[in-house]
Amino acid sequence: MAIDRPRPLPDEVSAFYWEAAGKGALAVLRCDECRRMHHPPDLACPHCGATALRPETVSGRGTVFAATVARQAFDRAFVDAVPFTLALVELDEQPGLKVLTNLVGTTELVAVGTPVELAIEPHGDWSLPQFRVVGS
Amino acid sequence: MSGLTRDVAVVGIGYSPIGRDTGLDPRALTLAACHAAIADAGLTATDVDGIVEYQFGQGDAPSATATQRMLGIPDLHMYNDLMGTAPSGLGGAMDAAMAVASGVCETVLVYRCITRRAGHTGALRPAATEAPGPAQFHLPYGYGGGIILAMAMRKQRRVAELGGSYEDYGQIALNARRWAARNERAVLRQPLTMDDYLAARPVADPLLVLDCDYPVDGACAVIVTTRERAADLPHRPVLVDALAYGTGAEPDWLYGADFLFGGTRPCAQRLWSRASVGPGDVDVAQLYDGFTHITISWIEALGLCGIGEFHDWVGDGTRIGPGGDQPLNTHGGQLAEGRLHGLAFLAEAVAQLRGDCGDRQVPAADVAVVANAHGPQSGAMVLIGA
Ligand SMILES: [Zn+2]
Repeated sequence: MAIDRPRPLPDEVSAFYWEAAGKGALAVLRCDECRRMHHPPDLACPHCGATALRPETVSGRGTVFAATVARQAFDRAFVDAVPFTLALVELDEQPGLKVLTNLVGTTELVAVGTPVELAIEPHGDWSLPQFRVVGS
Repeated sequence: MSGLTRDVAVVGIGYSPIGRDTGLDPRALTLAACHAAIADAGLTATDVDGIVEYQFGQGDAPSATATQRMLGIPDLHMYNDLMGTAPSGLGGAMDAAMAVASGVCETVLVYRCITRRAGHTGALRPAATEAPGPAQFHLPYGYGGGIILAMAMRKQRRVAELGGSYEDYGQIALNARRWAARNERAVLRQPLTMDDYLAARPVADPLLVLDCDYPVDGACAVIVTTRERAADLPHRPVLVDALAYGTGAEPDWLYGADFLFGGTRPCAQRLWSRASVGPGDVDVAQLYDGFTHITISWIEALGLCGIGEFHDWVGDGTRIGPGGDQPLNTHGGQLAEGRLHGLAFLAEAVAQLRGDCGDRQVPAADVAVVANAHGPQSGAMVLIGA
C-alpha cells in the first residue's frame, strides 16, 4: 500500500539526517563533550548541554523498545494504511537511544527486544529511515 | 504545611453541565463553572484577584482575562494562560497556590474548560503534506495521534519490562465505573466486567478504547485562598500541604529517559519530601486517568505500592473501589465522569475531604493525593482537611 506520507522538511539542525537517509544510512548527533548520542537532533546535547555536536553514521541495528499497531488513522493520509505498525527502536550503539519508525513488512505487534535493522524507504527525491525485523 | 510561605487552602469547587454534546459555547461552560465555584466558596467575583486557566489554544477555553471581563473583575494581580505542556488542569491550581503563598494574590480562580471538539486528540486530521520542526521525525510515520500511540507503546513496554498483565489496566477502567455509578455528574455509569474491557475496540494494539478517557464538553473551577481567609468561609478548609512538579531527564513523550514513568517519579519524591504526611497516610487518591497507564504509573511513583508491584497490589480491584482500603478516583475519573482535563481530580479530593460526597464518601477522609498528567509534564499535590 503506497502511502502519500507527509514530507519531512529538513532544517539547519536536521539536514545531515535526511542527507544520510538519502545515501541509505542512519546518522545521529554525538556530543564532543560527553561523547553521548541523542535523537531527534537538537541544538545542544540533552545529556550535558554542550553545543559541539557531530553527525555520526550508526549501524542501523537495534531492538524493539516498544511497539504498537494502529487500528485507526489519525492523519487522513494513513486512512488506507491501517493497520500499520509503529515502534521505538533502541539503537545498538547506546542504551536508551531511540528512533521512531514503522516496522515494514508486518502488521503484527512485534515483541519488545526483537532485533531489527534499517530499511531505507525511497520517496523520489527524499528517503525515509524505516526498520524491519531481522530475517523477515 | 511545608515549602510554601503562607498556608494555602482550596475553598471552592464548581462544575458546568458535562456532556457528550452540551451545545454550550466554551465561554458559557467556563462561566457556569466559575460562578458555581465562587458561590461554593461563599465569595463574590470581586474577591478574586488572580485567574489561571489551562488550554490547548484551539478555541477550547476563554483566556483568563476574557473570563475576568465576563465576571466584571476590575483588575487582576496575576493571570496566566497555561498551554498544553503544563501539568494539565492541576497546573493552574499549582500556580494559584504559589501566587497566594507568595502574597502576590489573596484569592485565585482556576478553571479548565474543554470541549469534545477541541480535545478530541483521536480525531482524524486533514492529510498533512509537509512535516516541519519536531514533526519531521513523527508525521511521516503516521504518528498524527501522538499521545494515543505513545500510550499504546507504554502499555506493551510496561508488561514486557515490569511484568503484570493487560488485565491490570482493565482494573483501572472497571474501578472508574464502580465509582461513577455513585456520581450523578458522571457520563458513563454502567458497570464494566473484565470481559467487556478485554473485548473493547482496539485503538492501537495493545491499547483499547476503554484505556482512553471519555471526551466531553465541560468545565471545572476551583478557588484558592489563604488559610486565614478560609477560616471565615462556609466549608471545612482543605489545605495544600505540598505541591511538586516533575519532568524527568531529556523530557519528551517519546524519547524521555524514563519512558514508562516520565516525570512522575521525581515529582512524587519531591512531593513527599515537602509533605507533612507520607504515602501510608493517604485516605483517598485522585490520579490522572487520561489513559490507564498514567494512573498505574502514579500509583507506583507515589509509593502506594512498589515499582512493578501494581499487579499483585491491585488484585481484583476491591481495594481501590468503594469500601476498599485505598479508594482511587472516587468521581469515576476522566474514564467515566468525563474528560474535564485534570482539575476535577482536585475538586473531587476537596469534596471528599469536606465529607460532601454522599454515596461515594470515603469515611474519615483527611489526607488526599492528587496527580496530573505524566511524561514531561507531571504535577502533584497533597491536601489535608483542616
Ligand atoms: Zn553531551
